[in-house]
Amino acid sequence: MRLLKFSILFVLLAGFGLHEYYVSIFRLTYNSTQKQIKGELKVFSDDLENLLKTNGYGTFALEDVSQKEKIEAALSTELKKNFSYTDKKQNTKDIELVGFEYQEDLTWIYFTVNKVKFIETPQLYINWMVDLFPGQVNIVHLDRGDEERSEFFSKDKPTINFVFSE
Amino acid sequence: MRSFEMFTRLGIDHITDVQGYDHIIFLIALCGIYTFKDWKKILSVVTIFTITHSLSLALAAFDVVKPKSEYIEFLIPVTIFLTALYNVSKWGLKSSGNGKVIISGLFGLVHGFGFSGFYRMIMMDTKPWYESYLPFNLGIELGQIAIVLVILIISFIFQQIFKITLKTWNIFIAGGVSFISITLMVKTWPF
Repeated sequence: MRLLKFSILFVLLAGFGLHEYYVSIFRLTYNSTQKQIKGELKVFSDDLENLLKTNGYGTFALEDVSQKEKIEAALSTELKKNFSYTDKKQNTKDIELVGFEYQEDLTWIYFTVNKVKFIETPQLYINWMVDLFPGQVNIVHLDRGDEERSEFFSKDKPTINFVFSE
Repeated sequence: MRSFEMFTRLGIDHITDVQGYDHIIFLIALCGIYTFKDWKKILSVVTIFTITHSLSLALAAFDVVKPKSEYIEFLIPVTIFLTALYNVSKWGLKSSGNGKVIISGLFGLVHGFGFSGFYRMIMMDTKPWYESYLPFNLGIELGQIAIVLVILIISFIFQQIFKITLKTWNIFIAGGVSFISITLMVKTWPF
């Protein structure tokens, strides 16, 4: 009888499909000479195509070079909407899309955060893809040059203060 | 958070994620028939699984081999089903012998390919490979140990407290695991 009750667990598990993992990686590297952060966002290509379609930009194949300008315009809008960098003095910095690179299942989006004099305790807001995939996790690596910090962002935790030594 | 801690956590989270339960089910098939007194056998089974899945993860992550993910997703439940079948075979019912170790090593290769899709996403291309590979594998290992401990505790409760015989428990585990793996095979059928 106990085994019978326990076997319900197996039946329940079999009823659920395997859950896909939804994750994107932000790699932010500070260049003290240029006073700029170079950003690299790594995403699954199919998730990105899905995002652009769902958010009304159109149906794109990322490898289609004839669509490059339209895709970049859409990516720039999405990035500015879902990513922000605010410094210690509460100034939110400009973000500029540099471009993107498609490599089969993965796509890299390149951008810059401009006029960053120094990194000390920045606040990052990242809401990337969480409306499309509520389980989406955004992993952020912020490299100041002498120190690096990493954090998980999610739908429940879109804002995090990074703390570096002074 | 330092990147070592980050990648270790990612490894733990990836294998213990109940919504991606196929690896957990494989560990149940692999270790569910053991008790705490079989710890040496468990250690060898889990260690060889770790070695082989780490190897195939590296081969796929660094583009040495590129297995199609749809085949790997299908093969994972196949490995679970075959392990469950082995458990109720005349070889599997004997606790001695190295059959389980061989199965664990062989099927570990398939599961490593399964981990590689996630790992390729999280790995840092600009950093030395070991800065993400080693802590991620360590995390998988820690998660695996935690899962095996839970399996052994449940197995202990049923066998020692509820007095379910080893043979009945073994058949129960094989039946449940087979049921799930067949369902997954149907869902992931690639042909």
